[in-house]
Amino acid sequence: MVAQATQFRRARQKGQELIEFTLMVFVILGFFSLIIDISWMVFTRATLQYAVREGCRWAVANGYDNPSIVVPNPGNIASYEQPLIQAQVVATSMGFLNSSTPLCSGAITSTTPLCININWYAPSALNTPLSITATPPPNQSPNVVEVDVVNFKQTPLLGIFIEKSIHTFTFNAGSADVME
Amino acid sequence: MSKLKRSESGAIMIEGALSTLFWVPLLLGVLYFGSALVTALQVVQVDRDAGHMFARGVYFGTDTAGYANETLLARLGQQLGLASVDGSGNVTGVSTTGPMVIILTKIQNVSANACVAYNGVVGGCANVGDWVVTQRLNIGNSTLRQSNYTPSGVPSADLDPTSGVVVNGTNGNYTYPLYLQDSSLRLTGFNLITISATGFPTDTPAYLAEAFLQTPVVPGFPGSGGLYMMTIF
Repeated sequence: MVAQATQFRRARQKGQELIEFTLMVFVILGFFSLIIDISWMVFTRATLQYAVREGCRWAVANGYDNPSIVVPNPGNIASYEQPLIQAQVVATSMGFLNSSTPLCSGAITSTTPLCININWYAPSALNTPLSITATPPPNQSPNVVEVDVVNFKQTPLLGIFIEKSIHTFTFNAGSADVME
Repeated sequence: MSKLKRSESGAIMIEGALSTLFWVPLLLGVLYFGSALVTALQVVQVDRDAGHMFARGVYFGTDTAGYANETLLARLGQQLGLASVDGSGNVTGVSTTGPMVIILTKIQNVSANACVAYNGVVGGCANVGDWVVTQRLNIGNSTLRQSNYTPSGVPSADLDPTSGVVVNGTNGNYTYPLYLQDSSLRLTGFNLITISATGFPTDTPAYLAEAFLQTPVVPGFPGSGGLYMMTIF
């Protein structure tokens, strides 16, 4: 009788540890997923910030009067230089951006699509971008250059707690400085 | 044997729950510090951009022209809450009620020669040998924090409320900047820059850019509640 009861109890407990372990694993995995996804967003944000800073730094140091830049069309140096700045931003973006990420210029609005926005301003009017085809070229001292990555969208990597199809995070990053 | 197994029932759950008390706060701490680190990098960048532009002569006064220029800073600090936005999400300017403030300060060390240049100044040049504030601008929510380099009297009546530049006094036919003698503009104890014959000269402006971002206070995390950065140009 005792042996029968013991056998019954053993049978009942069979797999119990497995179930408990499974429950715990789901909780732990969920937390790790959360950690990884938030870290992914943090990394994205930091990388974009770094990329625009590098692009801006390059733009500041390589203006109109920099003799190291060979300009095929001196009358349009700003529009010539824009892709070079774009290349700097892309090169330092750790793959988040690529050469097909479009360039744009002009005022940024909430509806501006993903692009690398490069503008030059007169130091007295930092809300009115200068024309990139203006004469004299805007990319020279003492004008101000602004480099932005606009509306970069990032989805979670794992998406257990942060559902991929629901949550897309939008990042903007910008840097500005006076031309040297 | 069977009694032992019975007593172990649910042990994993209990152990898991107990260990949760350890690793959940640990993971949350990692998240908090990771996020704070990146936010700090952004604050540094906005601070440095603002300070460098200020040092290179870009005007950030509170009049129309200055406010338009501040809009660029607002765009750079938009994700930090420095910008005010309209209903469509477009940046319209700097938010004066947001969680961030940038304090731009121009300082210089007054030499005796500066006093001579202004014919001695009525009452003498009380600030010779001292660091003084010659311009101070607050961008953003100025109620959040005072400058770490705020002399007791700054913002002083001797600073123009629009441009933040120190105003002039008169000495007969001469006008002279009031930083030569207004003791309330002194930066007492300022020692971040050493004046020397071969180093940083007197009467040469240095530019301080301070940024403060208000962050939520997290119990148990020392230093939470705000990020403060300062750069000198």
